Amino acid sequence: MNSKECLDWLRAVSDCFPKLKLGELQAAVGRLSEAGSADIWEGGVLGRAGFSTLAVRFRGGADFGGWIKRAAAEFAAPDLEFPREPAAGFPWLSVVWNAEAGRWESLQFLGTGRGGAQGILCRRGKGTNPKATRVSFHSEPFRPGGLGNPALEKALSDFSSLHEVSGTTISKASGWSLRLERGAPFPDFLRCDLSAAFTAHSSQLALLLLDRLVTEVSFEGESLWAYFRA
Amino acid sequence: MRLDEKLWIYGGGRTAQWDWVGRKRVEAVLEALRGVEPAFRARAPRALQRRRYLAGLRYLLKRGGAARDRLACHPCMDYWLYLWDQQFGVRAAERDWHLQMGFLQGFAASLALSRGDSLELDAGPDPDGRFYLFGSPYFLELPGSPSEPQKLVISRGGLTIAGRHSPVERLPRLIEAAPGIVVDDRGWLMVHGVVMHGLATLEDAERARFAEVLKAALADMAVRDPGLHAEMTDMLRALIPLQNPMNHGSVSSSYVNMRGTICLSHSDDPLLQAETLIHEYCHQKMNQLLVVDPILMPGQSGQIFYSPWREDARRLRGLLLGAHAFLNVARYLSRSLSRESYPEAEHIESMVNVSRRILQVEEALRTLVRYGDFTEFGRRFVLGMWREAGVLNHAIQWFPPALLKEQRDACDDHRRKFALGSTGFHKSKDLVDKVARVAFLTPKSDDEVPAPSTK
Repeated sequence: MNSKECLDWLRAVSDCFPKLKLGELQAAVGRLSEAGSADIWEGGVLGRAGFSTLAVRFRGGADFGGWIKRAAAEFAAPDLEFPREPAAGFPWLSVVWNAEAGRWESLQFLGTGRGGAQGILCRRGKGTNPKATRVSFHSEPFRPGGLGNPALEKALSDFSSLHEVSGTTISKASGWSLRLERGAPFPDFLRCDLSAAFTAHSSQLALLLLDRLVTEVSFEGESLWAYFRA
Repeated sequence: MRLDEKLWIYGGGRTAQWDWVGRKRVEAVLEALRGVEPAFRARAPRALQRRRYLAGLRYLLKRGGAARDRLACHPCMDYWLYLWDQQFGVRAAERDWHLQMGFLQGFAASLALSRGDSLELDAGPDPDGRFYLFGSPYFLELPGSPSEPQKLVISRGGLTIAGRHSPVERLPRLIEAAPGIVVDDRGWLMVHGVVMHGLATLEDAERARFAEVLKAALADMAVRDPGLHAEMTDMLRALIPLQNPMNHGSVSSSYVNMRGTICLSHSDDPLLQAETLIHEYCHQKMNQLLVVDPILMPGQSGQIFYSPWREDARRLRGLLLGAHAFLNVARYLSRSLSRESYPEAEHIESMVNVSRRILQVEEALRTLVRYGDFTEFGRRFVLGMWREAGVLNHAIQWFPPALLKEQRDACDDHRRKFALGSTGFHKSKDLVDKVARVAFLTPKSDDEVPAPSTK
């Protein structure tokens, strides 16, 4: 998803739900894009919550260091203290935006190193000061078994027979995700058992997301995210 | 066995495939029944262990043959197993154990009577004081409660209970709409699971009239669609009368855990009753077929799709069952129209019904093929339904064009109200569509709506 597609999507959400506070997010996306320092890669929607929480994933430009500082300034509160400055080896940024409050909920700088994927996760807790912690991920081939939850295993197995899953990423800090081999058109994704969390908003989502591809399904805490791109 | 979709789209009659699919159901039931004795021994209260409840179960499992297999496919057996799974996997009250195990003796006693075997059981009445010989129209009226079973001896084609012997033909019996298809508005195990609509409790004369119209409907069906009739009379075992408090054309339902039972309201119109029977029977037939081949690949249960028949969202499976049922209804009505003469109002009503159903079936099939992933048989089945809907379109070319247009307009109107644009998705009531579009033959915004012409 390029920046125009991302901004079109945010604009469509704004058109339908003018009470949502998306202006700052839209402006930040626009600035990052104009500066040429980042690509917009994927958007994300959260099941059950409707449109009040959205996600945008960015891929850093050539000047990682400069981009990371810019991105941190765009999305983080000025008083955010990193345990260590995000390194240039973290070319990805994932922002979760609370559209009702008009502020970011979390941001995560990510990269892949020798020990697997690593990153810095900054979450806004109940207080005003966000905290930053180091996180690590490991990826493995997708296997629906072994989760200790037969219903979930069956759902994942059925899902993977409808839409091929290329791999799983697991993080103690932020949950786990399924990456789809080819992506599932959003309407096809919505028919799946696995998308039950989106059922209540299915027609609204279908109107706003059109035929975009779901590329990743992510379980974070009790919540299910669907990430999509054009 | 490779299933022939043509035999399953419409009534294919009692073919080898029909029997094979039925056999799968029998095998599943017997497998489940084999698990009852160990569970009974492990979990049933001690007082029940002393009873001869296992004698009936063992007899059912030991005796093979068509009569036993037919009992295994009885809707009350379906419901008995449903209750067993739901209620007896955990701790259950002693009275419930008696009731549940007592029902099972009704199957064994009925089988022993039909075979001329001798058998001793402990039998208690259901909460209404009846002991049903499932699979037959006969029942006993017993004193006492389910927790006070009595010794029941079956021998010489009769039953002996409390020292009194009764030949089976002297027992009270339920009315039958066709041989083997009873009308029942009281049987505890028969009606306990009927929860969607209100049950009608009929007087004897009302019950007789209810059965009489259904008998006429089935007799008409035997002539107009012998294949469908053969299947239906093989699978159906019970017809349960429902209330129709809002005076709808018909109220009906059927249940996946009571395959072989159809619940429907009374009508004096055999054609309407035939339509209802076909609709509900098709759901039952599909429920039996889907055990063998799911048609839709698993994992597609999202309740998000526009249904041309309803105001709420449905699953793909619901659209599949709806399309199948209404396709069969439309064909039967179309055949009836071409064979019989009806009063003009009824003739027009049937034409309206046929044309509306065909359009709705096409609507449902369109969504199915747009979004569904199918098994190999499922692909053939859905393509076959498309073809049959196409064939039926030929059958209605002599219908008045204005009538056809009216029905198409009604379908389009329903879609406009309940579907998301031209997609297969249901449009929820709270949908907000304020997405800015490029202006094309429309005003740019609300501010620019042109004033109405004063000419």
